[in-house]
Amino acid sequence: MSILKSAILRVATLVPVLIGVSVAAFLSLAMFPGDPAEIALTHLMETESPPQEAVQQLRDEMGYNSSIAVQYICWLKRAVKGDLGDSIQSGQPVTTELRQAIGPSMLLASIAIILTALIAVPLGTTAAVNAGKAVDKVALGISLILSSIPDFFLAIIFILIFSLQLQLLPVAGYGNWYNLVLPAMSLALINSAITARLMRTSMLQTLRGKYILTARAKGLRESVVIGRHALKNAFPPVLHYLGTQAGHLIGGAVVIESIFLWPGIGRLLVESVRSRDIFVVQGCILTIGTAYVVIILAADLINIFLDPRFEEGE
Amino acid sequence: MRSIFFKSVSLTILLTLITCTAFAGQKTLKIGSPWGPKTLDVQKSGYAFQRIGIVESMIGVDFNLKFTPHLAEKWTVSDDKLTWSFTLRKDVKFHDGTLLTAQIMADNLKRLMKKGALLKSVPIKSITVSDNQTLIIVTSEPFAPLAAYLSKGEAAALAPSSFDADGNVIRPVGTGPFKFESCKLKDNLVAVRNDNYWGSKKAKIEKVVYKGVPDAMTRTAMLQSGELDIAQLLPPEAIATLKASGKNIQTKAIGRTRFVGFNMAEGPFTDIKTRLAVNYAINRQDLVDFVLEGIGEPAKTIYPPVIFWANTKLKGFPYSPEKAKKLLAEAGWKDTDGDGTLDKDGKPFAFKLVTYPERATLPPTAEVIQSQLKKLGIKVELVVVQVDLAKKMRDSGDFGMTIVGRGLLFVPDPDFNLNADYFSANTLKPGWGAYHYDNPEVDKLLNQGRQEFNTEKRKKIYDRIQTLLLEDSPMAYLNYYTNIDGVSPRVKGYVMHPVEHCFHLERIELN
Repeated sequence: MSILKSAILRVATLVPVLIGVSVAAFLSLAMFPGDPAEIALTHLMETESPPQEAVQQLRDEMGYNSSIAVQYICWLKRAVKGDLGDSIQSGQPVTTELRQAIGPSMLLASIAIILTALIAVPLGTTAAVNAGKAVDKVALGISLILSSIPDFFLAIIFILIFSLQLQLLPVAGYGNWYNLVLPAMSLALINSAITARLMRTSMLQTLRGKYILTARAKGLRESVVIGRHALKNAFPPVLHYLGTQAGHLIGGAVVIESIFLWPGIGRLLVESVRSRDIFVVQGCILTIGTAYVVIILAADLINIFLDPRFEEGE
Repeated sequence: MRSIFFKSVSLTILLTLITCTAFAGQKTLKIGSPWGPKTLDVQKSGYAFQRIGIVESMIGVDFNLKFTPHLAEKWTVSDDKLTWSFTLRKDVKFHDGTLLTAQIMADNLKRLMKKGALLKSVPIKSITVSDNQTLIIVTSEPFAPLAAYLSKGEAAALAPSSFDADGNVIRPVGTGPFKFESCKLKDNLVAVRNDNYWGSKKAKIEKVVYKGVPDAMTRTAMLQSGELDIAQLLPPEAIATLKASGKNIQTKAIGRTRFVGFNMAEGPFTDIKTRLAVNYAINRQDLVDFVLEGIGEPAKTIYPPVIFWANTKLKGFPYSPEKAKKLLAEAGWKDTDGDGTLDKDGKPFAFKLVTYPERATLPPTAEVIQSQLKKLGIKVELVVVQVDLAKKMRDSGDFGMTIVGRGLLFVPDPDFNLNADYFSANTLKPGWGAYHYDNPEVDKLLNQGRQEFNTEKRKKIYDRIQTLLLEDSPMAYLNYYTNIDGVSPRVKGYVMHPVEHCFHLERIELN
């Protein structure tokens, strides 16, 4: 029951979060210098000098002449009914644009997070088990290097090696599984640096536990002690961190999405901010906010099922 | 065990790749540009569809920016210069087989006036048809640039089947050498050959894929790996790599110019002598050699010589620090207090130079100019801010100089930009025009140019305007943008267009 209650509570917090981010997005876009109608037409037509009469007309159509509060309330009224407006650039409903972008974003984020876990958990565990030894130092070195490389740089290195030198994978694109390899690997490697350190710390703490001593005293093999007993207890904090990372990757993988032509939310958000496509920006912000909250909730729920202490508590 | 696993994985990857290459086909041309198609509504944004050759307009634009008959085989203007009549070709069929008529063309232009931005500032009074082949446009005042507006992709002919019941575009059905096949907005556009094309030059390639690839590094890499056949708008640093991997490089000076705008309302540049001095003090060749890595051309007038409207007799400003010094001295600027900066009436020669980083070459250009002016004792405070803020500073007069890169021929007629940027009433408006420039002779010529329909006479008018613009120097033209395209050796017949009006892909053959 308490699990259900906390889940409902968590979903309920979505409402103030979404209202907050949508107000923030509206205000920040309004505070940008420049005429939003002119910038929109500049992008749409690829000219720095859109006809002033057309700019004026778009301004009237979009209601840019009224105050920001009125604009927001108009938007909110329609948004509540599920109408997020149309994109100024494409003319499509914002919901259509979001639907097209959320799939690729979730796919990339989930694969990247799974890869992150597959790299970070063994790396962190090995480092913890061999704390202070050469293996630990090598793992530390790898983590340090990875966490100090910007993701776009790693992406370029990957393209150079795997696409241009070895010619194993295409440079960029979307639609086939092999298009996913490079962007997911770039994100996963960068993310796994910190995650592996977290895994190491968590594992070290767990290994100090008395039940580990008991398990060893029972004569269990070390692999069973680590793999079955310690990992189960050391993993939850890492899982929670991975959850926030996944939330971040939906909408946050802007550079990687641009380099690899991945048609996700991040790219949509950046392009719509640049062209002042206000309704699309709002839609992206709402989607990213929702995804964040839902993913963290999901991570919490998984934690509850994984954490042995909960079983006993119930 | 492990090695078998790895071998099988790499074999799978290899096989998949081979299949992909086979699918991509030998007859498909893949082009990558920074922008994908933004909307299906050609009348709101038509450039992508026109460049690929899906839609066509009544008037063509050749490689020097002269107008040619296209869907209209000829057009005439009445003696009062208000009534244009366009005679459409009889043999033009849309991709769905419909015959092009004057009525269809008129409906398109009427919808464009309502839904699109292109014609909003054009004084059109009425659009009618007099017979199946003749379209009549009446303007409320003589307006020579109309032909240029009608050459744009937004003014293209679309078949009635392009629209749904509410009048929204569902798929662009045009008249061009390529037919629309599919489109993923912002990402790609796929077109196939139109075997029933009306023109004499039918396309040789079967299929075109036009991809929006925002990142220049990705475009370069995709050309190298063969995922693209043509990668457009590359940075100069990509040239060496691409040449080394056997790709061809093409360059073209385009109708986009980098220039300095002076604040003519207040400050040191209200004096013509200081503006001329800066013009002489800028070493334009250095800018090309060091900022543009040699890919570019020092500007002699506002347009590059490849464009018909450029006044090729003008020689621009040679680099001459001596002349600059002399002019500054004549204007009364001297270093009286010995601090290395010129001064006059107790005020130092110092000002803000505003530019923006969205066009990557502008900040380094500004830095070079800053150091070139410093040698003359002029103190430049560099302000590099986001473009919208830069524009706001310019519009409020909070600058001494601006440096901008600006497309001048979106509508391929000199009136389009010269009128907006140099007509005295317009120079007071927001924008990037010559700030508070006022020359009655230029105003008179601009009005004449708008009302003169004879191309040779118009050319003389705009030549004269360009001469005056150098004499008055409300701007200092620096250099022309040069597009750099990387082309795979399997592509034959690709020619770049100075305003990217159309890529003319029907000329291309693939080996």
